Amino acid sequence: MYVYLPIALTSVSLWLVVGLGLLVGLLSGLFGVGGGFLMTPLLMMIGIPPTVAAATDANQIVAASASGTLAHWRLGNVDFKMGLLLLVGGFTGGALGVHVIKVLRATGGADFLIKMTYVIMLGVVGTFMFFESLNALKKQKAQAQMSEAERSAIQEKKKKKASKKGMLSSLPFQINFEKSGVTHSAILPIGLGIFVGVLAAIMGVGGGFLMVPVMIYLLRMPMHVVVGTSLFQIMFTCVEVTFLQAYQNHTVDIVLAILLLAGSTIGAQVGTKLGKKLHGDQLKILLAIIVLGVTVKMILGLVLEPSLLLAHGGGH
Amino acid sequence: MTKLKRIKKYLFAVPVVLAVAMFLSSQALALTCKVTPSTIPISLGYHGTKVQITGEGLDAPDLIVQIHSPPGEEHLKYKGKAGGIFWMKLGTMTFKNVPGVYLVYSTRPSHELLSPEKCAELSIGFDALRNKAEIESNLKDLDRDKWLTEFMKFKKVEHLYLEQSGNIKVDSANHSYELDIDWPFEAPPGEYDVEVFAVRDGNVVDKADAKIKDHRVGIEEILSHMAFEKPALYGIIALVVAIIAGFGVGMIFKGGGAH
Repeated sequence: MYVYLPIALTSVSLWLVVGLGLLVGLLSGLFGVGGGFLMTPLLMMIGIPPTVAAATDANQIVAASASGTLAHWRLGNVDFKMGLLLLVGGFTGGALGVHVIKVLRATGGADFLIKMTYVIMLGVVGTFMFFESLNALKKQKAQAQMSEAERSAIQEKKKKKASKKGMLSSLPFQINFEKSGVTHSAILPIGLGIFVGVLAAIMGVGGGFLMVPVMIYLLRMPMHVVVGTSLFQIMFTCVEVTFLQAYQNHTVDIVLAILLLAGSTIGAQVGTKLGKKLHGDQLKILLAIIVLGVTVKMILGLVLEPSLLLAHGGGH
Repeated sequence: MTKLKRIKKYLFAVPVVLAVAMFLSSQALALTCKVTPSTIPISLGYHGTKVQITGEGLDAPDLIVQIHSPPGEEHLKYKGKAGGIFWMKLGTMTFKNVPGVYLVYSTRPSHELLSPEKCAELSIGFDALRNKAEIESNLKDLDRDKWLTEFMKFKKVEHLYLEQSGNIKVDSANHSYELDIDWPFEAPPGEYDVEVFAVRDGNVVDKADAKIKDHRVGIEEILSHMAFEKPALYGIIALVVAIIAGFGVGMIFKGGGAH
C-alpha cells in the first residue's frame, strides 16, 4: 500500500513509514530524545528530499513528544520549572545558532562545520555516556556484595560531595527544583539551554540527545525526570521549528508527518512503559550504544567514497 | 480527331488526380501517436502508473520514442574531499539546459539507428543532451565530462532519466507500433512532450508528437495549494494535527489502564 506525498513529491510504502515512526517513537519514550538525529537520515534513505525530511521530522516529533510528555507527566516525571528555564535558553540559543549558520553559509564552510560538530558531539556524548553507565553498573554490582556498614559510609561520602557545590552555589537566583530534588541558580539551566540551542541549530536537530546528558551530568537530575522534562522541552522547540519551516520554506509534508506520528505516538507510549522496567543506567548505556552507532555510520560516510557525487541540497 | 479532343479535354485532370492520390497515400502512412492515459491523476494512493503509447502509419523498420519535460536548470550539491580526508558536500553545481525528466525508448540502441551528428541535429538521445548541457559551479578546474556523467547517473538513480531499447512492439503488416511504459512516480507534476521518430537507413523519415500531463487531484491538490498559498494556516494545521494525535494516543493508552 503506497501513499503519495504532496510536498516531498514521492510515493512511499505506508507500512514502512509507520514502522519508522514506531521505532523512533519507542526511542523517544525510552530516552527522552526527539529522534531527529536518527529519523532525518532514515527518511532521506527512503527517498525523501533532505529539506522535507528535516522539517517534517520536527512536525512528527511534536506529536511523539506530546504523547511522551503526557505519559511522563502522569508518572510525575516532568519538572516543568526546569523545563521552562531550559526552554528560554534553548529558544535564545536556537536563534543565535541560526544566525551563526547564516553567516557561515555566506562565507562558505557551513557544511564542514555542521558535519564536524555532528560527529564530534555525537562521539563525545556517546563515549562519555557509555563508559559512565558501564562504571555505574559495575559499582552497583560491587555495592551489592558490600556489607551494610561499607555501603552507608559510601552514601555519607556522596552526600558530603554533593553538598560541596563551590562556585555554582554562589550564583544568584537560586531555585529549588522539588521534582528533580536539586537546587541551582536559574542562570545555569538558561545558560546550558543556550549552549544546547546553539549546537542544535547548527546541527539542524532538536537537541534531545545533547539536552539529556546535560540534565544528567551537569544539572544532576534523576534519569526518569530527565526523560519527561526533555520531552516537554523538545515539544516546544519542535512546535517553533515546524511552524517556521512550513511558513518560510514550505517543506513540511503533512501526509508524511501523519504517517510518522501514527507510529511514533504509539511507540512513545510503549517506550515509556518499557523505560519504567529498565534501570536508569541500563537506559543510558542503550542510548549511548545508539548514539555511538550513528557516529560510526557518519564517520564511514565521511571516509568512504560515496556512490553518487551529486546530491540534493539541505539535510546533513 | 474527336477522340483526341476528348482525351485532351480530360488531360488537365491527371495532375489533380495524381495529387489527390499522393495526398491520400501520404495521409494513410502519416505517423500517429496516441498516449493512454494522456492525463495522469496524482491521488493519495498514487505510485506511478502504466502508460501506453501507440500509433499507426509506420513506414519504417525502427522507432525512437522520447519523453521529456522542457529543458531547465537543476541545482545540486557536489561532493568532494574536504582537507583530503572527508567526503562531503562542498558546493553548488547548476546544470543548465537539461530536462528534469528524460525517457528514451527505441527498437534498437539509438547509436545503431542514427549517427551522432543526426542525433545532435534532432536532439535525440543522451549524447545530444550532453552536448547541449551547460554546467555552472564554483568548483575549480571543472571536468565537464565527469560531472555530466555523474549528473546522468544521479538522474537515473532517481528514475527520472532512462534509456531502454527493444521493448517497442512494431507490427509491420499493419504499420503500427505499441510501447508500454511504467510511468515513474518520481516524475513531478507537469506537462511532458512525447516525440516519436520513425527511422529508416540512418534517417528520420517521419515524426509524431503528443503530450502527457500528470497533475495532483483531490487532497493532494488541496494540501499542496495550501502549503504554498496559505503557509501560516498550513503550519498551524500541521501542529494541531500533531498535538491532537500526540495527546489523543496518550489518552487512549491511559484508557487501556496499562499502568
